[in-house]
Formats: sequence, structure tokens, C-alpha cells
Amino acid sequence: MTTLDSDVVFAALGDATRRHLLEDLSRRGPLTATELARVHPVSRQAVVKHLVALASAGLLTSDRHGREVRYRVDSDAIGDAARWLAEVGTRWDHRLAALQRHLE
Amino acid sequence: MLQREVVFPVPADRLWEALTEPDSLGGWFGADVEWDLTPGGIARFVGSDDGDRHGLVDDVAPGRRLRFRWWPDDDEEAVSEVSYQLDPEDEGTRLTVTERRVTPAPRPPSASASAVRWDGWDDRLTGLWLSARAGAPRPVLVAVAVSA
Repeated sequence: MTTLDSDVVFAALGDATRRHLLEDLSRRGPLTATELARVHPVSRQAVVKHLVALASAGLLTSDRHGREVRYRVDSDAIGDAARWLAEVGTRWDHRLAALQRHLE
Repeated sequence: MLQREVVFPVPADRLWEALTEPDSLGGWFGADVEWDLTPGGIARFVGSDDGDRHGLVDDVAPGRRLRFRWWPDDDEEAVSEVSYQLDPEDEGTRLTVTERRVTPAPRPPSASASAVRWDGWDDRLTGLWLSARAGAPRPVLVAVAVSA
């Protein structure tokens, strides 16, 4: 499974257009840049740029069929980043609760 | 990046002692900790449920902040950086803990990464993951639609 750098993921998700594209792909995907540009208020070139940013953050995968590239959401990769946050968060919750008791 | 904030009803020097003294750490950290609290100092965490860890101290400002990197003995690639920030408050001391994954070889932060506000994104990403799992046959990433 891909290991995501959570800072890179958050940076990729920090842009509203990219979030809208990701959301659209998760609902209707896989889609091409041309198909996405039809319904989003940005040029095809801009869509491609955003898709590349999302793909390099590990959030999308792409398949080439002839001249066509279709993008899909990599939910395993998103799950991996979220799982790290959940596991590490739980450990700190336990430690901080124990620290609270220790200091009482 | 994961972040937690707690206000403890003790002065900063008392909190610092609990966070750094091996005897105090044994009472709450969940591992036996030995470390050399100077920049570049070696750290060792033994006896935790999730395995033993090595560490490296990066930044020490007694009573104010501490930053170290650590990684599991059985996965040296899984390096993360922990930082403690202590801020005095009327009713005690606020402790801000952050932990974030870092690449084994530290690299300069990118401009795009520093331009983003991280607050709250950890919970949203977890929500996003849950909705991705729950929504068979195709994940619907509801949380992505929430604007920052």
C-alpha cells in the first residue's frame, strides 16, 4: 500500500478546486481531464495541473487507454493516511489522559 | 499532522519535569524513556505496547519546548517528529503536542505546504476515510467538499 506523507496530502487538499475535482471523481470516476473540465469552471490545462498535484500526493491513480488518461480516487492511500492519524491520535489521547492523572 | 492541546493545572516547570524526567515519564508515557536532552542527543523508548523505538532529540528549550524524531526498531522508515510546546496560562500550562510523519532524510518544507492551515484537517481526513469505507461500491468522499 502507498504510504502518504500527510503534510503533502493536506497541501493537496488545501485548494478548493482540487477538493471539488477529488469529490467529483469519487462520485462519478474514473474520468478524464476533458470530462472534468466540462463541468468545472476551469480550463482543461488547469484541470490537468490539479490532477497531477493530487496524483503526486498519492490521492489519485491514472490509467492510460490509447490517447485517453482516466483518473480514479485511490481510497486505500487516503485510508492509510487517515489510519496513521487515528492510531497516533489514540496513543496520544491515552498518554495525555495518563499524564493528567499523573499530575493530579 | 496530528495535534492535541491540553491545559494542565500546574506551572510550566512542573509540566516540563513530567515530560522529560525518566522517573516521571514512567508514570504516564507507557514506555521507559532514556534520553540525552541536548540537540543531537540519542533517545530510547522501551516497553511500549506498540514496540520499542529509537529517537533523536532535535530542539530543547527547558520549560518551553521540546522536539524529537522517533521510529520503531522494526521499521526505520516510519520516522515521525514529535514536538511539545508549553505556554503559561492563568489556570496552569497549555501543552500542545504535535506529531507528523517525516521522511527519513529531512528535506526543506515546500512553499505550498506552509501556505495551508492544518487546523481541524486531521478529523476531517478521518471522516473522509470513514465515508470512503462505508460507501460501497464506490467511495463518496463527503468531507472533501467542506471548504477550509
